[in-house]
Amino acid sequence: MNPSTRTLDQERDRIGALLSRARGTRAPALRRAMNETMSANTFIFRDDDGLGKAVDDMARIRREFDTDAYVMDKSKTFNTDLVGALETDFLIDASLALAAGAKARTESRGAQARTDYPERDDANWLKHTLAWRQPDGPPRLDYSRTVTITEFDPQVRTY
Amino acid sequence: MAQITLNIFRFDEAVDTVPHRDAVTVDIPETTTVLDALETAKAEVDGSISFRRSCRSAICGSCSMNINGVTGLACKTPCNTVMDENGVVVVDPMPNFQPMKDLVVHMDPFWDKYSRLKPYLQPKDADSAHDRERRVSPDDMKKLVDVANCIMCATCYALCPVVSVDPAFAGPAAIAYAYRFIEDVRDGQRTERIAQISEDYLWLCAHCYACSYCPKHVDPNDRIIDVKRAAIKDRVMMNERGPRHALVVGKTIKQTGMLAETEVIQGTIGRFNVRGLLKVAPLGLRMAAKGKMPPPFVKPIPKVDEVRTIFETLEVPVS
Repeated sequence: MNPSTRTLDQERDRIGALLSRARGTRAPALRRAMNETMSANTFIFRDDDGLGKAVDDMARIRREFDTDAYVMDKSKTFNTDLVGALETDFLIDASLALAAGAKARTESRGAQARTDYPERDDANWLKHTLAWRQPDGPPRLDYSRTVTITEFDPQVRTY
Repeated sequence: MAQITLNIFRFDEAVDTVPHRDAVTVDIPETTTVLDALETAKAEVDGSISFRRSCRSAICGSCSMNINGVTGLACKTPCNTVMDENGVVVVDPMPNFQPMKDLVVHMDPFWDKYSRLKPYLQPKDADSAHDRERRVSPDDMKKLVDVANCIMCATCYALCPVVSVDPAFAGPAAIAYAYRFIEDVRDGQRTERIAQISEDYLWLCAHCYACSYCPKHVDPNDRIIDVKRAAIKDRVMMNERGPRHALVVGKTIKQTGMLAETEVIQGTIGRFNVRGLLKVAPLGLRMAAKGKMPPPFVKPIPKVDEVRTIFETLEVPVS
């Protein structure tokens, strides 16, 4: 299946904006801000306040990237400034979806260890989070049908 | 924190005919690696500074570049080991490669020489002939371990003076990796591999040890010696200058206890190779004019028997 013309135009505009803007915010600065909020709020132990901050920070970083991000290197030869900016763009999407999904999941499971919900909640949360990117703000979340347990029963995460 | 200045080679093959240099100063601890200094310079000062990098832990081989005149991995080089008294570090792309953009070079010739090796196991027999995996003894495996550490960073190739005068030379990395398969007991193409690397100018290696700067201690030079030994043992291309020279040097030392230069020249070129001998005749005349002509006959030294015993005990090939 071929990408539609609309999709190709959107991509060309997205990448073109990075190359054509003469000033603004550079990707490394936004990446550092993302590092700081994700490390502080979505690291090993999570709670609702921290996750809320992460979602707000990442939504703000998402907006700032969309309106302001630019690259200094305008060359078409081995442009690592552009590649780095595109990678940061995708990292922002992934981080925002991660933070939003973690905040909505009011339980601990696997790598998600919430101090405000320390136990697993198999009755309500045996399902996968699905996320749709929104033009503004955090993603729209939905869930898969209940997961079927076959060979491995859910266990408490201890070592 | 210290003021570190990177003096960087700048060039874009799409727009420039000549390079220029930029001095970029960053405020970082002086123990920072040259790679991290470059990343800081790129993030804070000039986003167009271009360089290859990936793992930042000396295992991927991407960040090889010329630092203060010597090629090495930027991620493995702390600034305070290379900066001058003003905190300046000079950074250039690897030599022996065509520059593309700043510190990024065209790597194709290096990869070509590699792929010509057929750098994958070509087993002696079909998998179906074994009811379990092919076993290799620890002693046999030991021979391959050091070479297998090669990360293909091309530092050795960049430093090699033979590559710089003859780009057809296979280069240290390729020859060392040829060894990895020549001595693999499971491989069935030993003769073909020795022939292939001999044709790619194995014998041009001058054993200068420049490639001992290998950041992973592969020591390509020692492996190149091993490949030359294998070539003579298997008698591959014995009529070429390289093998002839190796044998006749050993032969005259065994015979007389001395390197008999006149005989070495004849043995290398060929006693009846008139064309070849005429080519070196001008050199011989210039040497004679300076009083440096070696004696035509060399008398064996008094204890030559002891020398011959050494050669026989070690089974040194001399013909």
